[in-house]
Amino acid sequence: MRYALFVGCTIPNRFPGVENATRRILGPEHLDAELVDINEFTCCPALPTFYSTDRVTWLVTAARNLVLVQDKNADLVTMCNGCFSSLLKATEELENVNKCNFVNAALATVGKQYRGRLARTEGHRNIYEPVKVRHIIEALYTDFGKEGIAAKVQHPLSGLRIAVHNGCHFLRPTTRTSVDDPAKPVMLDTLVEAAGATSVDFPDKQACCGAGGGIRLQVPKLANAITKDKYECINAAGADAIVTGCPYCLFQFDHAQKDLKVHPIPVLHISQLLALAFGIDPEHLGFEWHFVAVRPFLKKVDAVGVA
Amino acid sequence: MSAEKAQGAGRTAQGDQGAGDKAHGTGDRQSAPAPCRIGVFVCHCGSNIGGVVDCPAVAQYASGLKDVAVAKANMYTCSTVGQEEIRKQIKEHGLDRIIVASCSPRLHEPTFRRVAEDAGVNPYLVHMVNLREQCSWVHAGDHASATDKAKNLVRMGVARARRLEPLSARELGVEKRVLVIGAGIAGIQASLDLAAQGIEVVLVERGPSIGGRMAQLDKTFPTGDCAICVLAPKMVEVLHTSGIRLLTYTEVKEVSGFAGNFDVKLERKARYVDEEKCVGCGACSEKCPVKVPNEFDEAMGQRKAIYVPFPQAAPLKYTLDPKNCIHFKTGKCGLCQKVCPVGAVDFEMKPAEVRLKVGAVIVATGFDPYVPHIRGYYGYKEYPNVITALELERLINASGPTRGEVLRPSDGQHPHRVAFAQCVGSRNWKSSSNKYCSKVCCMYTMKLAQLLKEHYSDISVSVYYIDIRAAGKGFEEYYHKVRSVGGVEYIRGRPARVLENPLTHDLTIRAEETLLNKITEREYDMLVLSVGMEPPEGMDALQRILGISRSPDGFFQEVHPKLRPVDTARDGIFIAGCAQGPKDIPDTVAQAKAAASSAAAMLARGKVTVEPLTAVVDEALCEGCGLCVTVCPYGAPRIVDTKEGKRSRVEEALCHGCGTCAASCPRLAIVCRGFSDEQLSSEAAEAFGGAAGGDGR
Amino acid sequence: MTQGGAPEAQKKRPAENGSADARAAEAGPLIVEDSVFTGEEHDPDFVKQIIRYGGKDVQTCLQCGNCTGVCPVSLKTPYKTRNLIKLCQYGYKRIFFTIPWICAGCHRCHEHCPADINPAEVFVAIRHIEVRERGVPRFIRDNASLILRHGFGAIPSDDIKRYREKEGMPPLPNTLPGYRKVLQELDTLFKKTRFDQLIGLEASGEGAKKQEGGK
Repeated sequence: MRYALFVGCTIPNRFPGVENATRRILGPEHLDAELVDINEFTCCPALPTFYSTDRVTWLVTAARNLVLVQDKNADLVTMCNGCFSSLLKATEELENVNKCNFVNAALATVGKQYRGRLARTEGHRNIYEPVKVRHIIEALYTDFGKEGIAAKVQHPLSGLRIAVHNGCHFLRPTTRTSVDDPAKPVMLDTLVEAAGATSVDFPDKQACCGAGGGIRLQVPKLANAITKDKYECINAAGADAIVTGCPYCLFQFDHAQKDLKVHPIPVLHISQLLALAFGIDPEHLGFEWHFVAVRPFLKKVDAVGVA
Repeated sequence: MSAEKAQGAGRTAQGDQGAGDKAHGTGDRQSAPAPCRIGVFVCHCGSNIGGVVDCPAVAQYASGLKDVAVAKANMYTCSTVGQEEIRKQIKEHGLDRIIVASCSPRLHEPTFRRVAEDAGVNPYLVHMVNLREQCSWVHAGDHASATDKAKNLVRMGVARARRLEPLSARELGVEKRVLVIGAGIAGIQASLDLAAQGIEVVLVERGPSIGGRMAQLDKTFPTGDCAICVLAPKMVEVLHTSGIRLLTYTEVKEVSGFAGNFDVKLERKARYVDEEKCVGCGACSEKCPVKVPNEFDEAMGQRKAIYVPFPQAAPLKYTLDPKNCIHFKTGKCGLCQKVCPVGAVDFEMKPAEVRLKVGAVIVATGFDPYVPHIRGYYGYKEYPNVITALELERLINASGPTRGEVLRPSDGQHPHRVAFAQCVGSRNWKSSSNKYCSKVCCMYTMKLAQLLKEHYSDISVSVYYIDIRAAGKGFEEYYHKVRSVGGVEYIRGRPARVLENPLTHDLTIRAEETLLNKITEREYDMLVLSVGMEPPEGMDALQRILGISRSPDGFFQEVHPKLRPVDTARDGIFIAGCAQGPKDIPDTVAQAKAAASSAAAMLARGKVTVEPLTAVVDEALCEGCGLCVTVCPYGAPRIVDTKEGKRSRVEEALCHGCGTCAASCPRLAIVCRGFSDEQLSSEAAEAFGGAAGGDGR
Repeated sequence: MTQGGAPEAQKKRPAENGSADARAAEAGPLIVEDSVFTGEEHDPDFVKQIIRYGGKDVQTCLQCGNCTGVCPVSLKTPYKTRNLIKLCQYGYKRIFFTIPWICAGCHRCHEHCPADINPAEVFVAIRHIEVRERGVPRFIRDNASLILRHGFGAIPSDDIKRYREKEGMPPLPNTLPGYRKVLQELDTLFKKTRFDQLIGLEASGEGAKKQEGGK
């Protein structure tokens, strides 16, 4: 597996431990995927700022990011729901020849052309396919599977109760594509189970965190009001931690618990949870950047013992 | 060409189209046609054409064309006055060809052919030029250009008319017998109506009993009539009418031929019970150890492996289901055979083939209820207390699996708070096939709600709807009644979320009550999904067998949505009931009667007319390659052995004159009469100002 | 009435049965001016404008309310998705300029809509219109500015840089000297698509003048 890791804006600047965890679990000692770093990436671009105001600029900026990947013979893999949605949507829009030509006319001004990834050659003809944009949850689930992940687990999180939060833009990244069933998703739950933990059931499990679309930025009270309902279900289910695949959902759960002054439940990204299960020392996982202290959860992890 | 003269005044030969009917070859053998006397009638069609095209000018132009003896402009050529005018001109000017420049031939071509024939002109020497759909209606903004185009079209038509040949239709005898496929209320009613007129009926039903979906119902809307009470007498009548040959547990395998003369092949599936011997005592079923879900009860109840689907089944003969029978799976058991007092159980039975000839076919194959998404947003098959309306109907029915008690699947208790969700599986624009409204669900929900209220005094019923459609006779009054006397609550809002309490299996529905402008969450004991109708299983196969079309919604397609609701594009095959689209029982019965009437009318004369605008093979050119056989949608050409080798022959009665074979033939050996290469190319040549060696002006 | 005392004291006493004034004071204003829509609100082009900017034809909405029922924002605020689409059908463009941009883009509305309308995309189209006819919200301009200047929505802090070094992670792209070229590309593209004008940024088209840590 060759992954071009797209880190985006939120993870490097707010939760660098998530990027660290991802690099380590994909590293040679664990899942051993080949990572390709691209230093010319920009913001995906963020949906509220770009997609809401000027679809053209959004598509041009996204296409520029995709161009950087198209000749690297790698899949673009992101750890953020927002980036996933933005970039996947862009690959779908670019399938339209007219839109693609329009975008390429703009990209020509910076010496770039979106063609897609070379799929195969037929005689003298090159056949291209869209650049593959993937989310880390789906990449781990599809490319490694429950068995592949479980095989690398050195510290099974047995008995730990995890409340899984997929987030809206992972379940419904575009209007025509979903990689997991939005009504009954299984991928993130499976990864949590592969780590040895229990994915608890609770009502309205696929509810929104409330942060997206600029809500957290403009009206944090509203975001918190939305989070509160889900938090109460999670709390009632007796979860030890909340695990998500999106740094913005992470941010929202983290801050909302502080704002709402409720009994705190630690919030982790799936990469961090898997890193713990793989036996990676928590001090590398950047928990100091989280608002709700993760220490109580780490204590529980230690108490479980090694396999 | 001499062949043209050999056509003369038309043939009345029966049988095949061999000698004397040589096809014309390619266009390069075209030569000038014989002189003729053409009458051109340019129609104003009120203002439809006349408001855009200068009809007198077109008539004037036409009268200047070679071979045009007279040209007139009429107001309404199709009217009695207009027709009389044509007759008059034929007599006065000795016309031998007619051109009517008016609307589409699809409207009045038969009329004008008849007028010509009455006046002594071969009906196939009438040609229509479309100045309406193809001229005035599409160029309404530019009168001058439209008039020019009209003149060009008429000139083209004249060129075509010069090369027309006299033809004559054939008459064939018919079989006075009708095949009715499907024995629900539609098939039953059609059969009874046909038998009453002395027409033989073969009624075929693929299930073990007749009665169809109506037999599954408890009561019917809006009167509350008991369904089986009104249906059973008709079912019994079918059994006792000697003119109806009833074949249950039978499927249609082949339908070939043409209107009046269909060849049908049926397969009588193996019942493993001899229908002649079985008296319906039920001893076999009592002893049978196997229990499986009963399809008739929508799997809410069970049946044995040897069974009748419901107590009032007709014919009351038992059927053995080999997929679930122990004897068929392991060779053991065989209890049913041992206890049968008349020795009717026959494990060795084989399917039997039945072949018949019929004159017409009525397709009354009904519908299947929509199956909601398993474990989808409404929790169907995930939450036990979410059921479909038909499943509820079986519970409420006194001869159903719970003897008429409505019991919650989770705990067998009566529900106290029931919700209905409308439009499940219908009006869905994300689906390519379920966009339509299924018409009956609003009404059957009222009926079920009313029944629940009548059975249980303490039950509350809420209906979540988007729109209420209560358009039939007495329907609006019924809607009024269920809300006033019945006390049923109507909530306008589509259920957004259905959650289940895992302990009680009670349901919570969250929805926006749009008329309250509030999001509400309410608890219920049971949720009933008002599912729509879908085309039944096996539709694809049956469509291929019958060769008829389907509408985008998947049901069989009628030939004209307004004026011919029970005819299909294949003459002699009719549709009735839900096979044509969702509808209630009154409409189904009306359509069944309409189909029976149409079939009877077709057969009443005792003969059918076969139009001569069909394909003809020139055996001198044909090599018997068989390409025409492959491309023909109607199975009309057939390869036969002749002295000169394999040749294709077109069965006139099957041919629809579509031209596909003629266009495909690599040897250009096939001509469509009335649409030969010469006729068409001479017309086309006029569009470009006349070809070299053409007819000139 | 029967109560004595100062007007303030009167208001604080609980309302008596039958005291119409007191009841009314509790209920709020009885007479509301302009409570009838007479057509000035109706913009006949709004529906077509929405389609032009990528929304769907809202006229086929059945107003079934399923979207409202699944919308996290409708649950917590007076803004009901269905009602907003109704206002689109009515052509009441102006009212959208008074509503904050609080659609989360979760797309539950589209997932459940039987008429295959996508209210989230309709709101995106309306945001496009608002930006062009009225102006862009502050938080959008701030974010776009950051991206133009730094390529990403934030400048990595010193703590972040230290963390990365300590953990042996590669430096962030926008801390590398070669990143200037990327910023120049963004600058050129934003100018080419006229995004800079739309949002009110300072793209010059020739290159970004500011970098992280720089002037």
